[in-house]
Amino acid sequence: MPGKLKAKIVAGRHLPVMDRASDLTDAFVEVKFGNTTFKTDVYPKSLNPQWNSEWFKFEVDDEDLQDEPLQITVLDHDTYSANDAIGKVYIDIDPLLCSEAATVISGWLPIYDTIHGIRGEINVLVKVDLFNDLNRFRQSSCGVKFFCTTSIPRCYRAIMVHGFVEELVVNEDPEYQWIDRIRTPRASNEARQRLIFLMSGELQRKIGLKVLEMGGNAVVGYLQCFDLEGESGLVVRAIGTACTLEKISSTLLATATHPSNSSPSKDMKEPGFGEEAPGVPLSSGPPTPLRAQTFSSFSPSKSYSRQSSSSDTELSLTPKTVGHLCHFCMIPPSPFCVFQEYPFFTLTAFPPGFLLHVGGVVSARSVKLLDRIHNPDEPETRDAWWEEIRQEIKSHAKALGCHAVVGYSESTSICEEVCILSASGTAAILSSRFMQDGPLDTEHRLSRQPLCVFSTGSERVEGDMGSSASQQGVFFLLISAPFVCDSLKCCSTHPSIIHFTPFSFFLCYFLFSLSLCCVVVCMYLSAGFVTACAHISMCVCSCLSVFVSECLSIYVCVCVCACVCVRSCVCVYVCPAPSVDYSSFADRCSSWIEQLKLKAHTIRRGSVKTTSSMEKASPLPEGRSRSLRSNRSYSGSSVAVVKMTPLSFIPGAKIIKYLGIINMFFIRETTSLREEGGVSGFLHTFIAEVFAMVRAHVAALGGNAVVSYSMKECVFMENPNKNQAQCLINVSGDAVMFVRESELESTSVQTQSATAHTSNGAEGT
Amino acid sequence: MSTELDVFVGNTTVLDEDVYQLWLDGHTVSDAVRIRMEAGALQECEANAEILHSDTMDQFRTFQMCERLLQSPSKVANQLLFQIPPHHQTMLIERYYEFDSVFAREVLGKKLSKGTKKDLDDISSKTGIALKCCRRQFDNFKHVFKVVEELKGPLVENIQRHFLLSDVLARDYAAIVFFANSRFETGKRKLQYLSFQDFAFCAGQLISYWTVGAVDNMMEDLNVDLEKEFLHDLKDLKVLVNDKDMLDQHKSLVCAQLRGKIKVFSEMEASFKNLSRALVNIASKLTHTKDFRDLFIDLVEKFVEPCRSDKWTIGDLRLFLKHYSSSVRMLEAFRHQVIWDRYMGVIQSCILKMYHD
Repeated sequence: MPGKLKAKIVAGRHLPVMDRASDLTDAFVEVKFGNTTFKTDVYPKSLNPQWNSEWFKFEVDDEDLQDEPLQITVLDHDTYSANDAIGKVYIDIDPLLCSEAATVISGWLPIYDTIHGIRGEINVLVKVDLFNDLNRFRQSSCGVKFFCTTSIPRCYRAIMVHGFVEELVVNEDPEYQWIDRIRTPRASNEARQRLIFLMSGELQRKIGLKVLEMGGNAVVGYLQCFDLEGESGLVVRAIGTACTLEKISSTLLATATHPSNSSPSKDMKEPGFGEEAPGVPLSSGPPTPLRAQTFSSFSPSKSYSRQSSSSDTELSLTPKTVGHLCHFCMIPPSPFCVFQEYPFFTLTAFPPGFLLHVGGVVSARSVKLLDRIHNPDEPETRDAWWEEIRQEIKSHAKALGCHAVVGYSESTSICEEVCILSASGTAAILSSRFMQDGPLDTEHRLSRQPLCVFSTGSERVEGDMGSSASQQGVFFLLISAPFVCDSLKCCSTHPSIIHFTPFSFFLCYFLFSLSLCCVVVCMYLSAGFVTACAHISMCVCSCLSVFVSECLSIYVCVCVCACVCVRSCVCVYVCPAPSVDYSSFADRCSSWIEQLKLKAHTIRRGSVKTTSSMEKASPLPEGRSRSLRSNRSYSGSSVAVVKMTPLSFIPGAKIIKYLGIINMFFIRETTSLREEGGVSGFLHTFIAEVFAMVRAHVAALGGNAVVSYSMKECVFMENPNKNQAQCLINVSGDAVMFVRESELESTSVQTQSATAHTSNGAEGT
Repeated sequence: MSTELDVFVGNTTVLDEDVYQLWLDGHTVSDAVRIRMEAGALQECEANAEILHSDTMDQFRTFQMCERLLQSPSKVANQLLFQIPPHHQTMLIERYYEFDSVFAREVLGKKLSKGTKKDLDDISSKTGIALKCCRRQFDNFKHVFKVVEELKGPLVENIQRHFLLSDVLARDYAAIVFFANSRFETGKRKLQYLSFQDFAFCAGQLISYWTVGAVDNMMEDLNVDLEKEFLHDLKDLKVLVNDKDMLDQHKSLVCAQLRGKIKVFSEMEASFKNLSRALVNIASKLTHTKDFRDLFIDLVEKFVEPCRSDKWTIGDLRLFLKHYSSSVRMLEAFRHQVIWDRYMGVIQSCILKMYHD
């Protein structure tokens, strides 16, 4: 009995009218955790009930605490017929399990119904008493901290970076169960929402276990994804970087980022690349597809043994007997070991000097057919798929002469029976000084020059690039190109996989040439180094947001991801590169934002917008799957507002506490699409509601901002003839508490911290 | 079939006051885009028409979603759906409840019912205000009326508290509620020259001095009903015109005061008895609902028009009314001084407000 969860229902407000006769509601609340349910009294005839309940106590295992959400259902009491549900609130209690995060969840949370949206608010208090459990064989991993931020969180110091962790959980999708034919859409949506909460809880717990095994205490750059495969199941998977973090007093932050940073080597820092860079942009020939992506067979490669020498490459598949069958890819703990099975880092920002050399972008892609899975409910098949991809990435990195991949991410895109898996990252050589053992120095042939490499998919053009283009200043750092099946729908019949791959290469090439164009433009403006990060976001975005830094310190463009992008196009973020003087970057950023504020309508949609040429390239039906973005908003008021930003920091403010990860999943369905203002109206409402719920949960944790916020995995289905639409959105981020920097910190600290953000800007896709 | 999908949602809700005004004015999205383009929005933002269109769409949608909240403004501050900075909240509410006085003038004194709502398209075409906008304003009137109808206490404060409006706007709403409640006749041709502001001023006077709430603000129910007792007591004023001596005495007192001070002295002397009789008669008949509703028409027909035909200046009128009302104090036989003052105070300021072309 290692934990006691306590919940108290205080009051409700703005409830909907459930009884037409009296224009009032007789509301009561059900509080459910696991299989235990408590009820409050009925508070008759009020839209603002004051339940003021006792403390409901749940005595549970900490394993359940991690897996299960606290489920609060508000109902309208009805004497004669069944009680009507008003809506639900799911509370993830994970932040309460970590001593350094939030201690209590308290505040007004929106009551959400999958059909009607937000219906009033409820005031709750949730606490957890945790007893220490030192059982070696425990299945829980309470206390492991999770961060979406892809850099070492600002009030922590990394003692050790253990390396890549991944996990994957599969379950049957309730939407496709037989029972779905007879139950209401609401019931089915709720079953799905609950299942996904459960699965992501389980996933997080399992990742946590792995981290503990590796000796870490935190996961940084945690990236969780949902694959709605339809008939064959629902996959929740996550990757991250296991670390051992230590809380530090924030003033020491910049200098203490890494223990061995005591002798900072200027020559090794990223800006080193920039100095000689005002050269002509690269004009590389279009890469040609060399081979198909799909591996017909795959053998766990011992051939990489040179690079993976210090680690055990054995895959140990250990199905655990906890609820769902699961698969663990064991990575043995070793101190600051890059040389694991997969030397990948989901981080995008590193301590100065950590990156010795950057090779270029590596990405791999593979097309799979979902109806060919033999045992859909088992995770093995998917694991094997990802194995392939990761091995390919690793081999690409190796071909570039790099032994690690940073800024690594994985994504999928599913259309009917076709699933495209893709992974990408930036191949890099890490400084041996940060390694536990540094046998690699001798092996780096490429450590001489900043290298320009241009690599897509499985082509490797590093051979000639290394020689011919090495002096030139274009440098693609991280290009993530999650592909959309939608655009490929036209050719999605099974035999056409062969056509598929060239097409995706075409897209890829298109994308690269586009970003290259931008780079050319930027070159003229900045005469500096430019890091481009292009991102086809599901073929459906509408804005080209460009960060251009000019030497004259005029920022030509605005829009810090200001768009919920929906139309087809390419979204390109061009980020100022290391050579630009960064000391004032943060300042500029905020002055920028001031400008934005003044011309609020100017920022909308960004001031630079490309024509959506993708539209022509992909005759896709609009509005199938979309990637939705939140914008960063800044209000100058001092009211208790919750800010959201896709960046990992808040300009002009200091993050003083991380309160826990926000990871929520929402489903919204409507059967009155036209009445709600069509597709746009429906989505507008839904997104506004999602924001509201994220804000409310962050505020309840005691935070005032969400950093590294991202809204991903959006599935949208509509049926205008039936007047119906359904949308699924997953949001994640880190809830934080920040304080405004009233006085400027010393310049040195700022320079340091600003440098740390270099790649974060690019990451904000 | 591909449907257009284009949404922009901000964490902090982005609002543009100009666009809000366009929405309030009942423009369609394409109209609004045209107007914004003419206003030079494109140059200002370096945007193209397409962006402007979707921006306008987004804002209109946001306003539409906000509308539900704006109907009960106290919710705006503690709702969670939109994160709106406080100064914007105030702006949203205030603008939403603002109305065109031309429109208000048309509706004034009418019953705020479905029947009137049906006439809105006539009003719309007459005033040139978009029908949508008329509807909003009408619904606001009705909504405010419905809410304050059931509340105790001073009307203006109630409106301010429940709708978070500025003092000026709350007073205007009080006037509308007062007129709708008392159903004064305002539509007659002879009254057409009076603006909403004239009536609002008179309503303010009536509310402050003649209503139940003016005496005792702890009364139950809507306190915009006039005090019955007071109206009843007004009958006693008849003595001023029925008693011949008193009338003559009153006349000579006023004449003595005004001699040489006003240009229209002879006309005044000639019509004194008629004017006095008119004012006292109006007072004595206010207990009858019909006559009460005709208060303004009576004032215009029986007092304002005779004076106007004699070409009184506003200064003359002010002086006359001042002495007409004050010299009653010198009539020893008159015992209803308090009632008289309460009556004349309001009538005097109303007439002065109404005396223009």
